Amino acid sequence: MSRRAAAKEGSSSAYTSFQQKRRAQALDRQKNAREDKVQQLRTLALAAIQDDAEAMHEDTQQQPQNRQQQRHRRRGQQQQQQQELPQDTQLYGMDGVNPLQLGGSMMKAYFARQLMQPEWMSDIPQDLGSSWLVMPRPEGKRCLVISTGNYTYARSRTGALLLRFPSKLPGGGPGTSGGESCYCVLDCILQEQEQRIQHQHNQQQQQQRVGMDADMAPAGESTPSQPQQHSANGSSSSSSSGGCTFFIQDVLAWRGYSLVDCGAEFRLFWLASKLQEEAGGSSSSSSWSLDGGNPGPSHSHRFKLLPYWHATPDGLAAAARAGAAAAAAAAAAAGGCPGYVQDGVYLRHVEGHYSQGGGCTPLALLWKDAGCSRYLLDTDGDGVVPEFQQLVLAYQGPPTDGVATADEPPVVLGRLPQEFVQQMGPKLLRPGRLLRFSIRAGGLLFNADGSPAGADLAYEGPANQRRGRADVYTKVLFQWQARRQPLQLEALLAAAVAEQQQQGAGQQQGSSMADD
Amino acid sequence: MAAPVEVTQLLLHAQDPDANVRSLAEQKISQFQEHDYPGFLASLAAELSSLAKPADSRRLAGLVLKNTLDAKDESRKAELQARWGAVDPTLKNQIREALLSTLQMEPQDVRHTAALVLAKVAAIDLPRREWPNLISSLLANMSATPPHHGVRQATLETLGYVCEEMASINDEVLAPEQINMVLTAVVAGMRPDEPSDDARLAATTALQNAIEFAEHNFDNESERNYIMQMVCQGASARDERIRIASFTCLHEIAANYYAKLPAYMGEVFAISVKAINEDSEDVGLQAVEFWSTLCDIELDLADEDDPAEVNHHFIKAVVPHLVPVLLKQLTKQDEGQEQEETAWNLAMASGTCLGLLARTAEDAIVLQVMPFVTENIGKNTTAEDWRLREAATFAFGSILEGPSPRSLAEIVRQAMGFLLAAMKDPHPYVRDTTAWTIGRVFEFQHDAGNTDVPELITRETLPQVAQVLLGGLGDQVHIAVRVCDAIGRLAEGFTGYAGQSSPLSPFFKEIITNLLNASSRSDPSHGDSTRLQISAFEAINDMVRAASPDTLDTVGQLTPVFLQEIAKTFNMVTASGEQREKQAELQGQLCGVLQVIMQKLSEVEQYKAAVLQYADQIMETLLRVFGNQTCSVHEEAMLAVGAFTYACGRQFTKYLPSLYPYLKMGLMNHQEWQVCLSTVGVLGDISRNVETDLLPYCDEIMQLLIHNLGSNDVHRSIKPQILSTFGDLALVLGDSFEKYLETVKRMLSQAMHLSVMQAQSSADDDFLDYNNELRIGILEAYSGIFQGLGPGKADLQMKSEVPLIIEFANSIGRDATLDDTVVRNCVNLLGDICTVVNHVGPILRQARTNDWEKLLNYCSDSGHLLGDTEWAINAVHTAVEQAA
Repeated sequence: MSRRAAAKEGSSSAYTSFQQKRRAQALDRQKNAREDKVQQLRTLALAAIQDDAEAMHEDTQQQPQNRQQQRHRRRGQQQQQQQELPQDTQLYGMDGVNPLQLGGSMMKAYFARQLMQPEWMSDIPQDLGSSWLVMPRPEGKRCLVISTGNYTYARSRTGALLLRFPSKLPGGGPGTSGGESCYCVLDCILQEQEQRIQHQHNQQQQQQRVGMDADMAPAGESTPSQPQQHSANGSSSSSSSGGCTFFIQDVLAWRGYSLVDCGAEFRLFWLASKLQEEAGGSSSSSSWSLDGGNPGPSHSHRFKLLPYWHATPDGLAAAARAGAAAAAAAAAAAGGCPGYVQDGVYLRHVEGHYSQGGGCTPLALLWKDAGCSRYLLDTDGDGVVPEFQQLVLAYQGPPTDGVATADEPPVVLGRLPQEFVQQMGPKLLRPGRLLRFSIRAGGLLFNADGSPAGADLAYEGPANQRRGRADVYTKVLFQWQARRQPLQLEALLAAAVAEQQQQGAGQQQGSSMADD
Repeated sequence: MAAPVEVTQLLLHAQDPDANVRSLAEQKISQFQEHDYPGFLASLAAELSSLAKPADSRRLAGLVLKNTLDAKDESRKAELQARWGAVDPTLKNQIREALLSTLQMEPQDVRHTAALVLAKVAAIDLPRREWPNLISSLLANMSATPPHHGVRQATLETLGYVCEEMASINDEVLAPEQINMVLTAVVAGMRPDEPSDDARLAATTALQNAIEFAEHNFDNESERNYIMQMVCQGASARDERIRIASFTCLHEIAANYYAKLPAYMGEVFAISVKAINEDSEDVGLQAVEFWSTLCDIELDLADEDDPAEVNHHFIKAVVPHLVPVLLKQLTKQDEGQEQEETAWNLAMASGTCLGLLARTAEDAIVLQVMPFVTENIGKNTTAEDWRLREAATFAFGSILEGPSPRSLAEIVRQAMGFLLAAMKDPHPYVRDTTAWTIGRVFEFQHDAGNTDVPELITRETLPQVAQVLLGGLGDQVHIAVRVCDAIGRLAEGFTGYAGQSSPLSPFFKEIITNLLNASSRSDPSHGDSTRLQISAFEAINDMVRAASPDTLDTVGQLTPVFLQEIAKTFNMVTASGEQREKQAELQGQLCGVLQVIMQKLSEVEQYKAAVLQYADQIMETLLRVFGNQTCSVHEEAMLAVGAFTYACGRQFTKYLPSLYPYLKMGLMNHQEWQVCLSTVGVLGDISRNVETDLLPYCDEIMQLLIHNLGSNDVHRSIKPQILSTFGDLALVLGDSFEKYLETVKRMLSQAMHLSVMQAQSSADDDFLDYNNELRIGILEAYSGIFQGLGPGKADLQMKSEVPLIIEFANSIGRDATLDDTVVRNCVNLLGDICTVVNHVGPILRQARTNDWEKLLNYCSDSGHLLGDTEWAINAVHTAVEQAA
């Protein structure tokens, strides 16, 4: 009688059922742990799935036909974009986005939030000489480099995948892996092969730029007219099929150990010593480099740690001429370590953590003057400095119809006139849409305390939505000042000297962290 | 030609009271069987069919013959059947004739033995289309004149057994005319004017086995009416055995021809109520069982919700009429039945039936039962009123599952105080049932994680509840067992409680302490305290599972307590097999608690240390238990090891050398398949935690796993688990897995082939369930391999497998009903492939069909699957788009 056993849940078979419960619990545990494990690897491997056609340069050679078609298609898209404000393609508004691209853009959004966003220096910190580190900033694409699962991935500031290649970074190539926990994440500037020093403007390059779309570094912060290697006729090797250089600015994680919560000084110290360990500890050079490992067309990317100093007068001076020094050294070494064209300096507070999440941090600053940068003022697509300062702002939507910077919270610099909003219509003018403006005669407006109050804006047209976000206020301010009263190196030196004098003569020595 | 040998003495000796004589005879019998199988068969048949021989030796000859044709073990059975099949046809005929002739011979019990043997021979012969005249020979016995009651009875028995054998064979062995003739003969034997009650009983019993073949006859209204008439008349036969058998026939009819019942329900209701109210208890029990069976059927129908299957909702209709009848039976308790675990009488059967009615009729039951409950639950005027109180409580407890929580919430809330007070009832049976009912209240009405229902147990009410339950732990053992269960359900209801501290937290330590005391209680009033021990440990497990963060310190303190308890078991006296078994069982329970504790603590990073401080001790203890090996303990200790690995992480590596022999032993334990299965699972746990440190053992482990996968001795449930474990190993070993890759790829493609073939041939649910398990194993294995190898390697090594995998996905996509877990795993695997293999898009586009797209769409449309699979859907879409 089976019912007899079930009657009042008689526990004659209790042990078996309790044991069954534990088995089920164990199975659950195993199932979940298995899924977690595979999910970890998935997350890492996912880095490779999107933008492949755009960024995997081997495609250029393998499928020229296909590649050309794609380029053609994208060029078409871009033209359309410029002409009629196409369907929304910006990061967070998914409406109208082809769902096939959703994964990619979600992924990009994630990676785009990983890089620390510095502010532009509009006034000099009080503790510049004592609490800041300074590093030369090469021209190139800011990118996030992730080494994991025997591959190394480079992602642009907007999160797009630029390169995938094996490297000697821990976890970044065959023979380097120490298990799945072994991965590194670096903050780098990518200098593509044979990056031409000479500044050129011509029609051809314009076309190339049109072909760049998502890969394009946002205008402004990097050098807008920097020559790109996507040649229109596809004849020569693509931008990075050989010999790119990654200049390491910062480290987010090393061998699975996260450093984002450490101070900048510690991070850079850690990075320098770890890189030295990897290199066999033989060299004391700060310009340690890991070349690509096994020889081969796509294996020859180099990593190079940028030198840095405390922002003492000596340190600042050294950093400001570091690019020229490196170029000279490169020329002397004839094909050895690569030089670079400098674009200002990068300053970090010694105790500043690696700030993530997309917002700017005041503990990391960019500065440049005409002495250490070819482009003090932003240029347009043709490499020409426009008459009026250009800026990109995001439309905030009704009811305010404000246009604002990318800061958190956003700084509202103006409002769109009602008629303009109506004319564009809600389909084209969604909240978040990026618009290009220029600052006219009225200039930037300030409140009594110096905080921003607005600007005399003129609408120039839609911005490239793919750049991901509007300009930040400090950048606008920096450019504004640069056109009027640029902050010169001398002012920085003077501030550092004054600080030293204030603190007494005993500590004047600029402790160089590394030999140049 | 085998000549019969005289075996009478041998057979009689085999029944000798002297063990030496007996075992010598048994030995000779089995030698005879081995050395001269045909002669052996011939001799037994001759003995059985020889009137001159003693009934004892004839009967034993029949039983030995039957055992040469049938065995419980399936593979042994197939062997025996094949052996009979190969016997010389002339000898087979000779034996068949001997069996048929035995039916004609006195005495009746030898006829009965012959009937049993006949059915076993028929089970082998009929599917092979041998013995074509069996049925007609049997039917001739039925129509012989003058009728011989004994022969008719034995023939009806034979027909019943033959039908029973045929039912266990899936093929349609009997021709429709044969079935018709059998049924006609059987139903004729059931007529009220059948002069022999024994024959009528044999006919009624035979019908139970024949009913499932009577589909055609049940389609025909007049035949159906006739059969039903015979069965219902049998329910009032003068012989009680016939009445019982008739109700059993009704169960079978309901199970097979539910749709055809409406016309007969009026009469069936009448005879069943009459039986419950007036007949003997044994008949009444069968009548109650009819309604329980009907509930089972309607619950299944409601569950499957297949529009092709009609649900007459008989139960909803009968509730107002049947419930009063059943409630009356609840007061017919046996004195002291609470002491007897398996007590089964009208009161128990009616309560059980009431529970099933509640689950079937749901809310409709409440109003029918509650007046009885409220009227009787407090009755206390005469000494016998405990019956009313117990019955009322039992009735209340029975209807807690089924009706919506909403319809019961208020009633239960009001009853709580009463139930708690009743735990002090003077009558132990009332306290027993009250404890059971409180447990049911917690099980069905108490879920702190469910915000839709007002909380039953709050911080205000819990102190009283806890106090009463703790008191109950000291009551008689059978009551304490129920209290343990109630505590477990109480804790379970707090599992979903969010936050640092649950209302149970303040009582956590006290309850655990009291449960520990209860587990070690030795109660002279109750010989067997094992039940209480098992229940107390399980209640501790439930408490630990439900522990909120602020009680994890207490949980941590339990580790040394249970290590100590396990250590004590090694001092138990283990002279007899029974004592060793008892020791092993206790060790199993204790390891079980340890497993639950370690799993709970390992879930919270900072409490892993609470396990780790005893790490060496834990492992030593578990190894000692392994050394004491019997099946059950072995498994529980193995599962405990699995939980332990999560606390250790990579540190577990240091225990690998000492554990490995047992791991290996577990993987090789094909007989106790649960042990093997659990070991495979734990291997996965270990691999995830020690990662590449497992490498030195992997060659042998892989060999064992691959062997198991290919072996027929290995229970099929283990095989999907082994495939998943390949995935686990591939995931952590990375490149080092490459050397096994060729073999594993081959195993997986075989498994996929098998699964696709299985999916094509329509099969029963059990089969579909297994195929889904197999699919999950395959999918998990591939996911582990693709992700373990990573981009470059996977592209190089696995790309050739991709078309096969896509066909496999297509096969899944063609399922009529998609299984969530299978689909999720499959879509994720497709995502894995598109992530790590280049240019999968064209392969997807070129697949023979694109049923795989259905899987993606299924996930996209499903709210709960989308989150886990969105990345994969996007990865696949991207790959396909790029191929465009």
